[in-house]
Amino acid sequence: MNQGRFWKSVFSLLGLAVAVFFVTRVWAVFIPFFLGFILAYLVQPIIGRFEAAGLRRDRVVIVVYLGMIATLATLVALLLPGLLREARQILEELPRYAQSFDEMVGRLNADLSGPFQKILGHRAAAFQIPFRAEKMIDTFVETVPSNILNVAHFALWIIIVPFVAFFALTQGRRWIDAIFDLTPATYVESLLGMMAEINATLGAYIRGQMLEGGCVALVTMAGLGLLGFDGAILFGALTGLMNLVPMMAPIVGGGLALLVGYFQGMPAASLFGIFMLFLLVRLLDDFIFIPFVLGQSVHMHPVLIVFAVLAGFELGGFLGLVFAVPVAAVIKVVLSMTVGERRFVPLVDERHIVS
Amino acid sequence: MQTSYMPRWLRRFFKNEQHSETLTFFRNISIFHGLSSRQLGRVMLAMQRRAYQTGEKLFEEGQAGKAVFIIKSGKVELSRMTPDGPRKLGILGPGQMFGEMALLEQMNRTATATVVEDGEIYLLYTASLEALVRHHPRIGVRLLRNMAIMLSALLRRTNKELDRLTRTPV
Repeated sequence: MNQGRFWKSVFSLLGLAVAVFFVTRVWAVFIPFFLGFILAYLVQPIIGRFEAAGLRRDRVVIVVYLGMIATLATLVALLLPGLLREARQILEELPRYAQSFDEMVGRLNADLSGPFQKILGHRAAAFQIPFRAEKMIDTFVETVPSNILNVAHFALWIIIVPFVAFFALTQGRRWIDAIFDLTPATYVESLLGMMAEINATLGAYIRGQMLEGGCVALVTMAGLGLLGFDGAILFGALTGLMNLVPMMAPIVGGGLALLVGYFQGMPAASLFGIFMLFLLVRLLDDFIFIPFVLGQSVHMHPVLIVFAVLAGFELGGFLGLVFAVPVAAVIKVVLSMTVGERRFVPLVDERHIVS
Repeated sequence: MQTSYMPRWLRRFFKNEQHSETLTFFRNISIFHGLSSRQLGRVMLAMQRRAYQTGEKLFEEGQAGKAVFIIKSGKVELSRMTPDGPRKLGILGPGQMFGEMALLEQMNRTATATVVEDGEIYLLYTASLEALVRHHPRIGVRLLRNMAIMLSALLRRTNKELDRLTRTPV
């Protein structure tokens, strides 16, 4: 290696290290920008339909944005009063729920202490359930100031995300063209291939997930409403949101709904109804929503999905949970196209052709 | 989406002048014959444009073929390596397409493509075409039919050439 190439490599590696260090230090700043690009990616097919008809992209983006704002405003006007009422009601009831929960845990500890004492003797005390909901609520109240700061942070995102998405949509094509113009000619085909494969895998997955989440939310809202559950809209919306994470909606959403239903004093038949509702939602999701809405967009082994979800949570909390599967799918596509050697064989054996 | 129902001033406000120009260019390419403006618009969105400079290699013989190339402007030379050295197969210009076999089966390239005059080239990748065919089967049927016609014409020409060569006295 000559000296020029050596120093070029050293400076490239140093530059890369500085960039990685910078990104890891301020990664939280990138989240709204990242979400903005995802929003643009989701809206792109709508813009594309108009663009294919020969309309100007920038003007279509403005009209679509106005339409989206009007739809969002209508949805907020329709759902927000109900959501706020339910949230206020649940917050007011929270101390009572916590007290009931602690009493239930206390009763369970008392019931279990007898058999435990018989088996373990004086060591049975160590096997008491230490969970106290009131303590959790106290901790929540203590952390309210920081929660308010998080809300302010979130409000800033509401402004930044659509702003970034707007520019990504109006300038998107030019940015992609610029990337291709800068790529060495021999790599253009590979880059195009990678982008097309990622788009084919990811596009269907993200759009399908949103639609699937919406279906799950609507069915849960309707079911809980019919069962007379106080907070059907709130829990329906939460279940739809949790559906973004594999397996979270039926376990956490269903568990919480059952617990809240129990504290609301719902009869056993209604609680069984809630259990059956979440089972039905799961079955609908598996046999109708996923095959028809999501399709086989992400071909990944279930064990790999579980690993991706756990790793995502470890790395990025709730956002990590949500983006774990799509990110893993992208890594899989990139690896299969760069590391994995593809064997090309003719589809038809030339010896079998008679002309 | 139909724009004919729009008032004239609104149509003028939204109209993309460059779109009709590009549409005219693609309409003359054999693989896109018979597609409506809207269908052609969708195909155009699936393509990627890139500016090339003289001397740049688009692909080399033996590389895996993944995309089809359509020349908008400039010229591209196709050559093949023989025991006697590289042999020029021909020079392609604006409106001509090459590498279409990659759309049918992902085989290795049988020639090397080098840019011999600066210009712009459109690329259509197999996965993009497959997505297009899946979402818009009418476009897919038309494109595949056109490709079959093109391959049939190529086979006819090859047969004629073979016939001529076998009849030529040695």
